[in-house]
Amino acid sequence: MSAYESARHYFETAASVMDLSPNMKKLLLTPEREVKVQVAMKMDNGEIATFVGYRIQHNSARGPMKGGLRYHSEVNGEEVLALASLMTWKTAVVDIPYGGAKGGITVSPKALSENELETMTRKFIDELQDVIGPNKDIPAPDMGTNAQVMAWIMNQYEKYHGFNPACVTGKPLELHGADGREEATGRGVGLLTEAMLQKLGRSLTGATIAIQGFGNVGSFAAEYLHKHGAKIVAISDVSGAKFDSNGIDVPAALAYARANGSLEGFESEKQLSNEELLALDVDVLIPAALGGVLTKENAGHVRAKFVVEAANGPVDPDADTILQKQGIVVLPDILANAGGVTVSYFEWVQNQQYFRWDLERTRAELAKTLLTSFEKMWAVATEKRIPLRTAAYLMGIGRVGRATVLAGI
Amino acid sequence: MLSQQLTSLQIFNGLSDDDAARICSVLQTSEFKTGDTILNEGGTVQVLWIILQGNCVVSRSCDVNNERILALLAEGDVFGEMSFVRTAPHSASIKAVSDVKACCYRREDFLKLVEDSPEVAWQITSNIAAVLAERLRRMDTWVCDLVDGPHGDVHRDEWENFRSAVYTNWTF
Repeated sequence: MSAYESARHYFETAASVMDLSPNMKKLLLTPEREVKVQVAMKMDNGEIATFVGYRIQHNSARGPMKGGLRYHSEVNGEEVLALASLMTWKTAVVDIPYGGAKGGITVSPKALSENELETMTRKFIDELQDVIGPNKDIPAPDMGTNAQVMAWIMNQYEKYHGFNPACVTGKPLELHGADGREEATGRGVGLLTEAMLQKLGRSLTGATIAIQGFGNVGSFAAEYLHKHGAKIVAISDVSGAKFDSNGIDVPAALAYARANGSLEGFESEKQLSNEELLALDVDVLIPAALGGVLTKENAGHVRAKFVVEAANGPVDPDADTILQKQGIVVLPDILANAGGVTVSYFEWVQNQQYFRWDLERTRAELAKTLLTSFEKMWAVATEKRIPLRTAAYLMGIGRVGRATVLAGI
Repeated sequence: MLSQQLTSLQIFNGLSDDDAARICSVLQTSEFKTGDTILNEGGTVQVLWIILQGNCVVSRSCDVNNERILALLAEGDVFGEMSFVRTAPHSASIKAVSDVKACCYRREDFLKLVEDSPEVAWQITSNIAAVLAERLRRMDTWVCDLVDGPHGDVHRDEWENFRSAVYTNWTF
């Protein structure tokens, strides 16, 4: 099932609980603007390369639109639209004053030199500069992009519009970035995992956890959970999974991955495949890599009691139904990985105020925002006897809906 | 009825004075009291009526409210032309809502005209076709209004329903 179909399915499920009419559903699903541009450039070897870039602005009822820019070979319009709508519900669930958008370029960034990556980014912003901006649509890092790419975006945007650090978030600390932005998504996953366990009378101490993906999200989640007493028994990246029944030495793994660029060669009790990691007998399974990793084929093998969707859409709707039947609680992506966009919001606020927060303040505000939303989502799910995901969508759609009826169309 | 009066009616427009006079000579005048039914829905009398004086309503029976008023007719209006060109039960009833004086042109007289002066009959036939075409055009507008009209209400309801839902059941 494609990302678009999954997103549509989850929206429809919530919409039918809310008994939305077909026309209201259409209003909430149709993107406000879709931009598709040619990004043509001369490569280092003189060859002409032409890429296709997207920016899909889904909904701005609650504020300027917000969402990542992704450089990946599989970026396509349909997927970008699905992710843009996910951003609309996500910003609404955590109640930050933004709408939703997403964008990207269909390209394998690893095949480009640093110079080519910069040229491509600047060309892309030449095309987008008119439709983005601090009060319109604010890009952020996503798969294949990082703080350096955001710095180029800011610089290119400022060539047209003057000093404007709030036009993009996820910037380097030296260039108006926010302390705590890089760790935010992973830290949020950790905070929410802890809150969920507490709800059910458990604690992080001694809880066994398997994390798929050791990138920006998985590594910081592992670090937080490890620090707070959880036993991380498995971690993984593209090179495969590492398993240790006594718990992985997370600080050592972090240092290894930073030094070597991957976990390949990191010593552990047992080497597993990514697929085997998903079926481990643990308390919490955290898919933090790609979308669509749990499907109807493998969802039945999951033995964890909780699944935390740190990636976007790792559990497809068929798998979601299977997990539900098995009594496995799924913490949905639109809240679980909302730490990133929340601290992006803090970065934007700081840029708008020309004032810098310290790390403690960012962490405290992040915890407050995420845990308030979590408590609300938990209460809605309990009261209405619905899964957490549906409860989160109800909150998101409800907030976007109220903003829409108040403003009018 | 005077031939000039007759040719001022759309159905007899374009006829010479002589032809109009010939038709006038065969017209039969009748008088009706308020509330009288002149033409019954479902009836098959093939007669073209011309109102000389007074008002009539065109109505049709229907499920809602038993009867629906389709139009109000006044002096100079013509009715019965549909069954005049095609034998079929009347699609509506005509009732006098005041004292009415009207004259009728019988189909037998018209068929005689077809034999005697086909060019005159052709003129009348094409005039009737114009009247019917106009009515059909009006009908199209009504149909659109009927289709669109209630939808407008549904849309208003839809917006209000959504508003009340997001402010009651779905406020957290």
